[in-house]
Amino acid sequence: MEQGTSVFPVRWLFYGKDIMKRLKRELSYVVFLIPSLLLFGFCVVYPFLSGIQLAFTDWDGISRTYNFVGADNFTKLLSDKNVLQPIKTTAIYGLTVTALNNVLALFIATTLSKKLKGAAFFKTTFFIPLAISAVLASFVWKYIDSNLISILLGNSLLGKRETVLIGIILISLWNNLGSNIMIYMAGIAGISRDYEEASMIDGANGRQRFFNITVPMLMPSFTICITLTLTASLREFGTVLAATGGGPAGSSQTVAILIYDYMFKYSRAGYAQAISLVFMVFLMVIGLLLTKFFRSKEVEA
Amino acid sequence: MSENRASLGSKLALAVFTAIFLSPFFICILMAVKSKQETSKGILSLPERIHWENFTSAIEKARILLSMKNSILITVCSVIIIVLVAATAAYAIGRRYHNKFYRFYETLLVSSMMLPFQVIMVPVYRMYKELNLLNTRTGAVIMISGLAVAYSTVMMIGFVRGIPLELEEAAQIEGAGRFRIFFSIIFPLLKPILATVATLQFLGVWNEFNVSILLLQKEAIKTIPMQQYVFFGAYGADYNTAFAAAVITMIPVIVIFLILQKQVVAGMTAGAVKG
Repeated sequence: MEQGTSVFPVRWLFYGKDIMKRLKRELSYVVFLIPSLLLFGFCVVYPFLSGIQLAFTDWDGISRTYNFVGADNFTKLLSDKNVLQPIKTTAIYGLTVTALNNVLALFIATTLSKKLKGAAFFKTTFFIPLAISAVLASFVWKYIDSNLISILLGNSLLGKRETVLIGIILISLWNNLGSNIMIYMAGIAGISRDYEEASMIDGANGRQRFFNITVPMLMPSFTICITLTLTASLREFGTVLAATGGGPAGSSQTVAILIYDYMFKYSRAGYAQAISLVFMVFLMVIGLLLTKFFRSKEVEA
Repeated sequence: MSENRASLGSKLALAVFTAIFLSPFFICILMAVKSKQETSKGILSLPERIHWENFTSAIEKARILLSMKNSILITVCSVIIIVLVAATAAYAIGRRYHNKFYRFYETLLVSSMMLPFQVIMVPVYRMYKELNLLNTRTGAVIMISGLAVAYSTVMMIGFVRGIPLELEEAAQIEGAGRFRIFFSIIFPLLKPILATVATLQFLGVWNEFNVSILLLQKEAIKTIPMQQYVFFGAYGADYNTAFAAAVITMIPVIVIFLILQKQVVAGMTAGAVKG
C-alpha cells in the first residue's frame, strides 16, 4: 500500500476518511448534549458569570443602567452590622436543624428497621410531609403555633424573638425529616445480617451493636445526610419567608432572606449579589470540609 | 432474635412522633369543615355539621382553579423537559465517559448542585427583565427546568453506563441512526430511573417557591404555592377558606405521592446505597 513516490500519499485519503467518520460519530453524541448545554448555560452558567459582574456594581434592581463601583460592595460588607446578625442566625439554625434532624431520623430509621407492627404506616406518616410545600407547611404550623401552642405553652413560639428559631426548626423538621429517614433506612438495610449475627454470638448487647456495627457501617449515609441537611438548612428561604418573613424584629432573618430583602426591599441588588457570592464561597468550603471529614471516617464494607 | 424487636420505649417515642406528624393534617381537615363561629371557640372545637361551603368559597376566593391550571401546566411541561434533556445529556456523557470534554461537563453539573439559588437570583431577575420573560409561564418553565437538569442528569449517567454497548452495536449494524438507537433501545431501558427522576421532579416543581416568587408576581400566572403565600399571608385572612383551599390542593399531591412512594424512596436513596 505504500505509495512513497507520490507527492500526495494515498494513505492520507484513508486517514481523512477515518477522521471524517470519527468526527461524524463524535457529532452524533454532541447533538444529544446540545439541549442540556443550552438550557444549563442559559439558566446557570450565564447568570452565574453575569452575577460576578453585578457584584461590582451599584445596580438597584429596577433601572436599566448601573455604575461599576469596584470592590466597594465587598469592603462595605466587612463593616455592615446588618449582615452579622443573619450570619449568626443562619449558623445557629443550620447547626441545630442538622443535629436534630439527623439524630431523630437515625432513631426513627433504626426503630422502623426492626420487627414492628404497622411499620409501613409509620413510614408513610413520616414521608408524607415531603409532599407538602414549605409555604403551606409554614402557614399551617404558624396557625397551630398561634392558636394551640400559644395556649399550651402560654407563648407563641414564632411570635417571640427568643423562641422564633425553635418554631422554624420544628416546621423544617416536620417538612424534611422523611428524606433522611429514607436514606438511613436504606443504609441500615444494606448492612449485612452476618455482622449482627456474629456480634450476637459474641454476646454484644443492643447498644454495643448500634455503636460498634450500625454507626460505623452507616458512615456513607451520614456523609450524605449531614452534608445535605446542613447545606440545605444554611440556605433556608421559603420556610422562613412564609413563617415569619425574618421577624419579629429581624430575629429570624437568615442570610438567604437578607439577600432577598436587599434586592427587593432596599433596592440594593448589586450589594445583595456581593453578599450572595461571599455566602456561596462560605457554603462551598463547609460542604467540602464536611465531605472530606466524613469520607476519611468511612470503613470498607 | 428477640433483641431485634423494637423496645417498648422506642415504640412509645415513635407513637408520639407519629401523632405530632399527623396533627397538622388533622387540624387542616378540621379547620376546613368548620364555620367561623365554631373556629372562634378554639382550634380543636368540633363542628356540628360539615361546612362544605368552605370548599366552594375556597375555589372562588383563593382562585384555586386558576392556580391549579398554572401549577399543572408548569409542572407537566417542566418535568417533560427535564426528563428529555437530562436523558439525552446523560446518554452522551455516559457513552463518552472517557472523553475529557464530557467529563468536564459532568463536573460542572455536579458543582452547580452546590450552588445556592440566591447567587443567581439577582442576575436571573435582571436577565428575565431584559428579555421580557418576567411573569410568563414559559419563562418559569425554562428556569425551573434549567435548575433541575443538573441533578437529574447526574442521577442518570450511571444507569446509561450500565447498559451494555452490544445492544447498540447490533442495531448499528442493521443501519439504525443514533436517534433511533436512543429512542428505541436506550430510552425504554432507562424507564426505572426515568420514573424515579420524573417523580422527584414532579414533587419539586409542584412545590417550587424560589423561582416562582422571583419570576411570577402577577395574579394570573401564580402557582399553588404562590397563591397560598398570598392568600394565607393576607391581613385578616379567612382561615376556614384558607384551610379548605389547603386541603383541596394537598389531596392530589398526597395521592400521587402515595402511589409513587417506591419511586421517591428509590430516588432519594440513590446516592446513599452507592456510598
